[in-house]
Amino acid sequence: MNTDDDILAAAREGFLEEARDTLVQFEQALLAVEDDPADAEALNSAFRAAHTLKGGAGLFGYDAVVLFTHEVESVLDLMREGRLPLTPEGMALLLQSRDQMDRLVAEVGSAQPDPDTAGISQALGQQLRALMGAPPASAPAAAAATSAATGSVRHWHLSIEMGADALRNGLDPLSFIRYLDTLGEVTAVHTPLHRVPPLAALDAEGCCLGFEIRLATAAGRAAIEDVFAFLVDDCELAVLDPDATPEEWAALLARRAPGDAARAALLQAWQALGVPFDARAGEAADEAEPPAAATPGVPAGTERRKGKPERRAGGDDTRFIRVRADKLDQLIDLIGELVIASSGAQMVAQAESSPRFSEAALRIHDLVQAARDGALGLRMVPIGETFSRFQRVVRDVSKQLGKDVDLHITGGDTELDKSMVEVIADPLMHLVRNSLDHGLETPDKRQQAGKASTGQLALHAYHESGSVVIEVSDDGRGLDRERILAKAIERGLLDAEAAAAMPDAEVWLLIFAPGFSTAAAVTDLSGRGVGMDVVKRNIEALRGQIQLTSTPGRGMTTQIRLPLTLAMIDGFLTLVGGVHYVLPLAVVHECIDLPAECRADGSRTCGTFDLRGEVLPWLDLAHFYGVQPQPGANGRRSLIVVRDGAARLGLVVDRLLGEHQTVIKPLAGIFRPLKALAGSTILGSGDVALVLDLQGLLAAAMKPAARPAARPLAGH
Amino acid sequence: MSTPVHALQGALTIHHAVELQAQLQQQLAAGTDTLDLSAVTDCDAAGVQLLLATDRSLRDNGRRLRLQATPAVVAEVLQRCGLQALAA
Repeated sequence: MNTDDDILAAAREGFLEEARDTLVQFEQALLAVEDDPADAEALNSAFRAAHTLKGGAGLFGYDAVVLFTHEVESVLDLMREGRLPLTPEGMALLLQSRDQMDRLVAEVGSAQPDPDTAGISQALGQQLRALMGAPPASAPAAAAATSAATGSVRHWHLSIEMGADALRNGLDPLSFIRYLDTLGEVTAVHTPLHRVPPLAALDAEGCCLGFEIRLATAAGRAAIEDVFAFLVDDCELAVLDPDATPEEWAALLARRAPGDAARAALLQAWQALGVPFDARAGEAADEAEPPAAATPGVPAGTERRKGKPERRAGGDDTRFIRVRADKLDQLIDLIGELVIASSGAQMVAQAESSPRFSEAALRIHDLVQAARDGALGLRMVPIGETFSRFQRVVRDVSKQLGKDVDLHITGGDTELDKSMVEVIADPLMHLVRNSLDHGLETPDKRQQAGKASTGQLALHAYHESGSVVIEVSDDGRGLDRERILAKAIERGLLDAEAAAAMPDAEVWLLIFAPGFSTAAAVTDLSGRGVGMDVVKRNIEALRGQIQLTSTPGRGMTTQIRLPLTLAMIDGFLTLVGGVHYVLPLAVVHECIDLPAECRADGSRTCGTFDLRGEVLPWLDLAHFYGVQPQPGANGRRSLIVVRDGAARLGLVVDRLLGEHQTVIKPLAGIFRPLKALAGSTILGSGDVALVLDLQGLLAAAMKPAARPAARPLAGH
Repeated sequence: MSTPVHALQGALTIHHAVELQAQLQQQLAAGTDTLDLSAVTDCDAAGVQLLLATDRSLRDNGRRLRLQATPAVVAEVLQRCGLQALAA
């Protein structure tokens, strides 16, 4: 008994997870349709998503989900058939329904029915039925009603068999088919081939053609038959209306296709055309089949629990397997240990000075590196999924605020660590809402400012030297220097004199101060609760940085820079004062002998030097960390030129030890104040090495003249 | 087997249907299975019918008709008849 429950619980977990994915797909498809009502594929995809959810829920007997989703599916089906127009109201209702489906699924998860949810289901269900123009009905009855529902544009079927003399009489059937365009849309045509003889037997001036035509039109039977009035003596025409009974279809089939082969061919052709008639009832029907086949009856019962889902929608997901996140984490931990062990083995090989051992160790090292990259790659997901969530947010919020906003998403295929994607979603949401709420103006204000009335909001992601950069930009009013300063003075963060002299870049940083909001009115959406300080803290917890650029009246850009992965990096190992330091290899630009400028005064921590005619700052790590320099055997020290975006910096170190695979371990809280350290790692020898944080070093080297925020943004 | 390409010219219409039929039959006898339509200027239902009949003859011998350089005027007609596959 217990085990049965366990299995059911596990299966339910699977359903919930799949349902959430399906709902995401559903929402994306709806938004795509709203964007471009002609996008038939998106509409199909929305329908399939609803269908999948209904099927899954039916399997477990979640009747509330099944009943409600069924209504949604019916509406989508009518829209797909072109029998229900795609109106903004309809789309809004479908999006509301999606949220309701989400609630219903959540209810399954919490196993606590909420009477409110049921009420909403009922209300929305009524609205959906009203949209379809059908009377309130129970689920199975509504399914039957689908085919009888009336919409303005309906699908007619025309079957034409040309008379042998049609061509001789100067009638070209093609011109009639072309003329149908004036009535509506010819959605599909099929020319049966069974009457076409081999070339030798052909009467070249006779006619042996026929056509099966699907016509989507609002016109009635008389208007359609009128088109063929001229042809009436030279063809045999059958017009089947959208509500034709199976008997009528069967009669047409018998008349058009005398032999078995022709019958099968015509049936197949009809199916391809989307004819809602299935002579071989009971045989496997296609997923994309119109109403009769697409709506499996879902009678209340218990045995469906035992059944397997006959159909699986989409097919996109078959290339993926689901793996529990903690299994993946275990694997990555294990590989981290392997990396350290492999480094250890290499050191032993070197110490033993055995060429064969060294060679073997090197081979293992290469393989471990490949395994590491592969394992980390498993955790990488494209950020596009997170980005596309914002389409709904932008749509809803801009409507709510009465603003016109276009969202542009670029670089959605940029990959980053899954754990980061999850953490980054909230700060991004806050930034997007901030832009919508405070940044972008209302259409009339934009016009007053001489800008297009539609605001532009862009989400952009790209890789840059070992990090992922995510940008949120808008072309709104930008940050208001005076208001920020006034607020800062009011809050006692600085005095008026300091405020006047403050460079813009530092002013922008003020908005990251806790509890700082410049919005004149605290609105429903932002300007309260989580502030920019929380955003900043979230990003910094990921070892990332956040930067702002703003032009008054022209908009602002928030740039988030994150490390590619939290767990492992290719490092560059150095020795300073007997302590090992690791730099991310991706930031190391070149290594040179210590230039004369740095040697001039042995006691200085930082200064500038000349790199092939370019003046760069340098920082002596030994002095920076307050240790005694211990130059190598030849008494010389080295300088590493590192790069972060556009900024470059020379780091003075005692010795270069070369490339090193680094498994980053977080530093304990007690070391937090050490700004320029990102973490620690364990070397093969068991020694601890410290992982340097480049931004911290840059800030230290460049203070106070220019903070990183003042740098021109790369990629602009 | 060699499969030479034959180029059809002018209008594939009812007006030339009889000559075209003779021409195509010769080509079938010569083993042609590919028609170059680049010089075709017009096409009507009779033309479609000729192409279909040629295809039928070839299929009866386990081959199929291939069209190349299909001009827009022919492509439009084939598409109207749901015969896009013929031009592929």
